[in-house]
Amino acid sequence: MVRDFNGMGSIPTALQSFIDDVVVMVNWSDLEASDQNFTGTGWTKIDNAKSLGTVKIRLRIMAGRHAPQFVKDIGGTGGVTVTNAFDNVTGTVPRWWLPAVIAQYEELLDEVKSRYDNYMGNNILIREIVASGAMTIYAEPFFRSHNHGVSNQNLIAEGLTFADDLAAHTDILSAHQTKFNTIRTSIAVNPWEKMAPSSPPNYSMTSLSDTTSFLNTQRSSMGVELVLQNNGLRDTSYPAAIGSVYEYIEGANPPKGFQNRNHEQPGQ
Amino acid sequence: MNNLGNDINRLLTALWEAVGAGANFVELPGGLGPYLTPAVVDELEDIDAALEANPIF
Repeated sequence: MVRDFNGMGSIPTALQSFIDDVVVMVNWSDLEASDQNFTGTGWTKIDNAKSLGTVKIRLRIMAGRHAPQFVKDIGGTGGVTVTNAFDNVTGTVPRWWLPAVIAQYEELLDEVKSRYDNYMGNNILIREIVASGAMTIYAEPFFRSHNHGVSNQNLIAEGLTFADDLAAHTDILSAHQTKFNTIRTSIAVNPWEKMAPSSPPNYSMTSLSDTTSFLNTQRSSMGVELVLQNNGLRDTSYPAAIGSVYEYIEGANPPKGFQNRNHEQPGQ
Repeated sequence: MNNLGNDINRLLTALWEAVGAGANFVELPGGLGPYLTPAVVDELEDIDAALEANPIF
């Protein structure tokens, strides 16, 4: 079982006997203050989790709206404004599909590897790293804006196409696989929100089949190193509807896991 | 945690569903401290034991 740690303190005594891992969620901007300047409070948060002893870390680096400004400035001044229609959270995000942005993400992964390489192998500290390089608002990288029309128009205006998005996801998972042979990669499974320039008012369409096709291909090369996860579990998720994310994950080979939808409202 | 009410039971239900779906792990939300009655902890231990039946390695 895993507990969301997120720098909130120690694990409650009652849970200590069966908590194996903690999730440490850090912002990219708190790991890289400026280009190649890998300083910030995010490293402290990871190190604090190390002090918990035998528990392992599932590292969730928040890219997207939490990327450093210099990354958001690649390909144009400032990031792209995106609002998540689900909760109206707004942020500016990098043009994650550009090779120069992916290169920056890879450099961050290199730094993570260099700092924690001694803990790999049989003495694993970081068990898993979330593939978040293509995220916008939350670390669910197949979502873009939950069909927020203006946001999707912004992304389309900056040049985003589904082909770009697919290539970015492919490159990001390839980078994880190449760099972290002993640290698994986790990705949040959701229907793919694809840009649709000719489909107002949302300018997007969602496709679970594109997500599952992509993930099946990736798993054919990454195998058990690619962990499938859904972050939207609720008590009404089952029985899994035909064609749903839950049906896909239920039928997928391990490793796989779930996170409750809302940290403030358990079970909802 | 606002609006929790009796929803700790809904959380437990959802976690059992995850176990039933073959999950190797589940993430517990932070801030559960106030809701960790002995009965809840017992059930979480049962869920953990069920998860251990699907080891990730």
